[in-house]
This record gives sequence, structure tokens and C-alpha cells, in this order.
Amino acid sequence: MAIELKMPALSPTMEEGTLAKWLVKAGDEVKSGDILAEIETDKATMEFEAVDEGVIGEILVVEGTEGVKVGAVIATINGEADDASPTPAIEKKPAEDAAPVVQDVKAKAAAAITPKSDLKPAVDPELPAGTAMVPTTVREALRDAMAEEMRADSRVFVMGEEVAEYQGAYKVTQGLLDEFGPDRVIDTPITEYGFAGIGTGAAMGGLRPIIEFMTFNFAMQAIDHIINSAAKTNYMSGGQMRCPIVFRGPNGAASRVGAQHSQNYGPWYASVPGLVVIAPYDAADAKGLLRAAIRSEDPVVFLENELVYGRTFDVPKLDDFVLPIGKARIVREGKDVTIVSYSIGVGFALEAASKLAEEGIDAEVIDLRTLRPLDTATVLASLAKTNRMVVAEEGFPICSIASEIITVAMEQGFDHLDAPVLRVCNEDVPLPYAANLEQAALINADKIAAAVHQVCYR
Amino acid sequence: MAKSARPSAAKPVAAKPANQTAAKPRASRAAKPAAEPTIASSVAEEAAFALRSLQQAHANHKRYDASDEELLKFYEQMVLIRRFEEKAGQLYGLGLIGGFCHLYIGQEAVAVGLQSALDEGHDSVITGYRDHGHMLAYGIDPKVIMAELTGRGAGISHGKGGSMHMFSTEHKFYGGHGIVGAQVPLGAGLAFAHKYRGDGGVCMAYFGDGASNQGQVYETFNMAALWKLPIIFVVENNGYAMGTAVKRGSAETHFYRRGTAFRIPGMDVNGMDVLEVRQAAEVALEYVRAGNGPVLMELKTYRYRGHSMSDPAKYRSREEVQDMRDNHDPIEGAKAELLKRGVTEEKIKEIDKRIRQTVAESADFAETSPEPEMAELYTDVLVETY
Repeated sequence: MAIELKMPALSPTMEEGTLAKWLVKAGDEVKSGDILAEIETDKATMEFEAVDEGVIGEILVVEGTEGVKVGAVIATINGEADDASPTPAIEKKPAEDAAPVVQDVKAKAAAAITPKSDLKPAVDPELPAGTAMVPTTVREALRDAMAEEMRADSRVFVMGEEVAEYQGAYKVTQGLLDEFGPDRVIDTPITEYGFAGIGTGAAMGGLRPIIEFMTFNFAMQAIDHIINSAAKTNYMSGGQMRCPIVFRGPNGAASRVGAQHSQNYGPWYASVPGLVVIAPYDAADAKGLLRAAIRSEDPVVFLENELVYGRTFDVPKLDDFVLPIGKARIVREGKDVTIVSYSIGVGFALEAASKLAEEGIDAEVIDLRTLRPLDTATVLASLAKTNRMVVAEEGFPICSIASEIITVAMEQGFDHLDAPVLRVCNEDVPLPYAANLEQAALINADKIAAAVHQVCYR
Repeated sequence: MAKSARPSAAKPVAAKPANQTAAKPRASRAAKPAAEPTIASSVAEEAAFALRSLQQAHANHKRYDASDEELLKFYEQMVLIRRFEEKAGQLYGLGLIGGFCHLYIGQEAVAVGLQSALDEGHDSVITGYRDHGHMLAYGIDPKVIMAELTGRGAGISHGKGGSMHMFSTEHKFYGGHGIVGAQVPLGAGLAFAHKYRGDGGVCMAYFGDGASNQGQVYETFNMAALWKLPIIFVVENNGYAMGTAVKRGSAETHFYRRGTAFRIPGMDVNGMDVLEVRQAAEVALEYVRAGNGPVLMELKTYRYRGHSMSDPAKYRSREEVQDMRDNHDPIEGAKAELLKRGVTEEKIKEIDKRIRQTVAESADFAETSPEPEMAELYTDVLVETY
């Protein structure tokens, strides 16, 4: 009986990859542990090992094929000729067998969160006519922003775990070591509290550090320096002590990594006076705002999202593409209801808006982009136009950015409200591991659409 | 010293030349299957490790050969700190200073001895919340310090920092940090900036015996040694972490040894003699400025007052404090030395009088200058407008 070999997920967030090379061919006998193929993702090349014994039946995806979806059948293995115990063979195959269940969920999730081309966010209006647009992943856009600022200003350096020789745990700093050398692209030991403090001190000493946290979950170890040292010292010193530093890294839920690795710290940092907090969604915003963050005289917490790193968006080809901090962006214009979101939530909001359009509801989608200072003017202007609002946030509901937006609407937009503002957030539980529970805990387009129906009374 | 502790290494197994033992690669160890050579090589490494070399240099030449003029200057600075802190204590009692206020009385020789060896305005200094003395030792105007203590607009932080949060970027004094131990990695960051720019500067980062038990201190030791940062870690061991005596809070009470695991040489220094302190600083600075990486200095000192103004210091005896005052006081010590050198009592009195005048003026200034404008509430939160 043939066993199907499926495209493996090599990282929690991988959705597809390139089948770079087959190391076996039909008819080859393989046993557990043999390397069958090399698979490339946007982060790395990994070897794909056999779990079962048998003879390669058919190669279904030829080598060199790009964009092979996780979970797709790429080859078959026929059980051994004598096949005395087919049952255990089928029952075992843990990797491949476990994968389909997960991958089906993931595939759906992937389909759900990948913005379709007609949902492409509008670009900031201030671009000169005829500016060429270059499709760029968020990952590359972030790297380009750092590289361009490092070329322009010798005080800028990058420090963090695995940023140099490993080329970045999520490959965001790929290539920087080669261009700028080990004095400016600095691998640290695993010591978040320590290197966050050293970075902060270096900023106080006149440099412009970019401190990468492998994820913001680990920045919890360092939060004292972000808040007590970086955010407050300028005020406490009567404006003497500048701290132009960027703390950046992935934030929010990734995929199936459990509660300790899945949290959105946007509301935490956005509550602290003295910090600038940025959480972009698309590649152009990531690039333009990271450049602005590096140039800023203030300490900036720059929250990225691992699930978005690999997504491709148009980025304007301009030498000096810098976006304003503190300005939200209307990514989809509409007249019936306003959906406010940021980071990965914007993708869900756009998808919900697209569904709602089919149902006759014209939703406006606002990407906050900066969480502190908050662009309340754009939010309130939209509310004045649509009179209804939903806030979509991939994060806990209590004391969230959504809570803040709702407060702003109450305090400053009350007369424009035709319905209570609703928030669509993750469930108020630590993020579970099981695929079905995790999916149930996170926001998605359907939940946002349901809330929109509620505030529109239809 | 290791003889009795390492019986198996006592056998004379091929001790390597000391200068070859640093960073032994794994390959050579793997080539020798027996356990003994590994131990022998680690013993040899230990011997080569310069942990005690600076201490030896200090022991060989304990006290700084100060000119009369220099010693008078040290005396004057120490008296300034003493009188300033006494005045601050008074103003606190009158309710003119609020919040937390930690006095430096008794520890004056540390800041004065060490910082007199630095290049003021070029080398960086950073400390914790007991910071008034370090500022005065770096030549910062006592008026703006005292006015900060009273929370006035003319204070060095415009009245928004207070006792624990004062800074002077002009003097390269970087605070004044209220979170115990936080100044240690921040100081390493300042040292990092010196090295990155190649400006030849050094950072002196002070912390106490209490802060020495914070984890971030060791994270910093590791990176500072790894990257050979130009930093002098200064433990001001005044015997008490707030109310906890060193022996109740520290498994290793010899703080200068605590860099050993990171290959940071340590120095054990008498912090009650300004000339010993200064000479130790010379040794440490020479080592650090030569690009060898950090030094850890332990300055044995004593605070006469409580941890902060609200501390009655019931955890130690009156006799203990009196003994330090009578027999180890850094100011009395310097004064005795001056007299012995033939400096007249009159000249010393003249300094005392001048300092009293300076401190009285700073107190007047601090009491009479106005509180901050209400607009200050909203300034300096962010530098830029977004």
C-alpha cells in the first residue's frame, strides 16, 4: 500500500516552499532517516528525511518546482515487498501523518490571511507620479530599510541574537553582515536584559542602535530597559538624555508555538509615555516606517509579525522613501462602517471588507500603523463619515488598543455614533497549541464580518 | 592556592607555557582521551589568567603620589560632598526635599579618588540612585543639583528627575538611575559607544554590593569581557544592601572575585583612603585604556547614614558606625595627611569655610528658585513631534 509523502512544513509559519532537489528516484529503496529531498523556504534550505521504509513509487513534483503548498503530495512510497505488517507502517509515519490534519487547517488559514490582489492596500498619496513599484516581501523591506539607513549614517548598527552570522533567526537581517561587517552587525549571547541595556546605553552615548529581539516575547526579559531606561530618561533629565534606539522584532501570535511565544505586546508598549510604537502591516509601510524609526530621536518599539514576513507587496522605488510616524492610513475607502486595525489584523479586515462588499456593506478599513502616538484624527474623521465602527486586533481584548480606540470614540466621537463600537480580538485566554483551539482563539475575517453586521443592524 | 583544592592535578602533568593557554580549542582536548591532561590544562590556564595581576600591581604601589595641590583638591571635593549631603539631609528634614534621598556621607573618597583619574567631559560616568557625590566629583554645579533635590525649575533635570535621576551630558555624567543594577548594562552601552567611535574614552560604572546580586550585572560582565569593552565596573561595597548586611545577601562576599567566571580581573581596594583609591584607578585605567577589556574594582567603604532618609539603620550598632567615623574617615585621613605634609591648619580652615559658603549658597538657591512652570509637565516626553 502506497504511503503519500507530503510537502513538509519546516517552520511553524511555512506555507509553501521550493522543491529544490530530489536525492532519490523512483524504485530506490529507502529507510527511515534517509534524506529524500532538499526543500527551500524563504528562510533556509532544509533536508527532508524519510520516516518510513519502502521503495519510492512515484515522484509527483519534479525538482525545481516553486510554490509547492505545505501538505501537497510530492511522492509516494510503496511498502516493502513482503509487506507482512502494513498496519504499523501506516499507523506510524508520524511526521507525514500528523501533517495533513495540521496542514489542512494551516492551508485554510493561509488562504484566509493571504490578501487577494484586489485587496491590495492603497499607497500613500504623496508619491511622485510614475514611481515604479517593486514587489517586495515584508522581510526584504525591513532589511532594505536597515541597510539604507546604515549606509547613510555610520552611527546606526544592529545588535541581537543570530543577527549576523546566522543571517537572522527569521532572516530579516540577511546580508547585512556581509555589507557592514561585524562591528556594525553584532551577534549577542542569549541575554535579552543585558543587550537591551547595552543598546540603550549606546543610544544614550550618541549611537543609533537597532536592537532585534528574536521575538517580542523574549523582550519581556528586557522590558525594564525599554520602559524605565529608554522611555523615561529624556523626561527625567529635563530633555538632556536622548535615546534614539529602535527595538524591533516579530510580535503577536505566530503559528502553533504555544502561549509563551504568542502574544501581542502592542497595548503594553503603547501605554507608556516616552515611547513611539509602530506596528506596520504591508511591506511599503514596514520599510518607510522603519526608516523613520531609525531616524527618530526617540526610542521606538517596532512590532513586526512573523506571519507577514513572507508576504509580498508593492514598495515604491524611491531613494528616500520614508513615511510619517503617527499617521494612520485608509487602506480601503468605504461609507457604511469603519474597521480599525493594525499589523496582521489589517489583512483580516481587508478580507472581511471584501466579503461584506458582496453582501452590500461598504466598509472603510483603517490601518493605524503607529500605535503611539495614535492618529485619532483619522479614526474620528472616518467615524464621522460612517457612524459605525469595529476594531479588529490580533491580541487580548482587555486593556487593548481596541479598548483605547473605543474610548476615543466615546470621548470625542459620541455624537457621530449610530451604534456601539465593537471590538474583535483574540479570545481572553493564553494561546493554546492545538490547531483547532488556536484557530478558535484568534481573530479572523468571519468574526470581523459578523461584528460589522451587528453594528450595521443588518 | 589550588594545591589542596585539586588533588588530582597535583601530579606534574605537562604544564603548558602560560602564554599559550588562552582559549584552548576543543580539538586538542579531544585528541587526549584521559581526564588528567584536561585538568592540567585548566590549571595552567588559571595560572595564566590575569585575575590577580592588577591586584598585585596595586599592592606593589598602594598610594597615589599626590602633590600637595592635588591632595588639597581631593580634600576640598570630599568636604564639598560631605557638607552638601549634610545640608541635603537638613532640607529633607524640613520637608523641602521629598521622595527618596540617598546620602553619600562616608563614601566620598570613592567618587573623588576614582573620578579624579578620569578625563572629565570625555570619559563617561554612570551610577545608581546614590548619585549626588559622583556629580559633585565630576565638577557639576552644586546649585543645580540642590535645586533638583528641592524640585525646582532651575534643577539640572528641570525638577522632573529628583535625587535619583540627574544627568549632565556636558560632563558625560549619565545618571542617576533608580532601578538597582540597570546602570551596569547602560554603562556597558556607553563603553560600547566609546569603542565604536574609537574615541579612546572609558566608562566608569558604579553600583553597590546590593546591585551586585542582580542578574543583568552578569549578563553585562559576559558581553563586556567578550567584546573587550572599555569599562571599569566599580562595586561600592558599603556593607549593606539597604538593611541587609553583605554576609546575609551574598554567597561570595569578595565582590572583586565575581568577574572571575568572565575572565575579568578584580581589584580589592580600600575605599576609605582617597590616595589608595586614586592609585588603584591608575592601574585599572591603564589596563582598560590599553584595550584589554573591563576591570572589576571593589571599593570597601561605609555609609554613615541610613540607606535613605527614612532608614533609622537599626540593623547595625552605633559602635560600628562610630568606629568608622573615628578611625577610618576619609576626610579626617586626608586632613591628617595634609597637616603631616606641613599644610597649615589655617589653609584647611579656609577651604572648609569656602565650602560651607558654597553649600549655603546652593541651599539658598534651591529654596528660593521657583518650582517648574506648569508647561514643563508636558515637555521632554518625546523629542520630536509626530
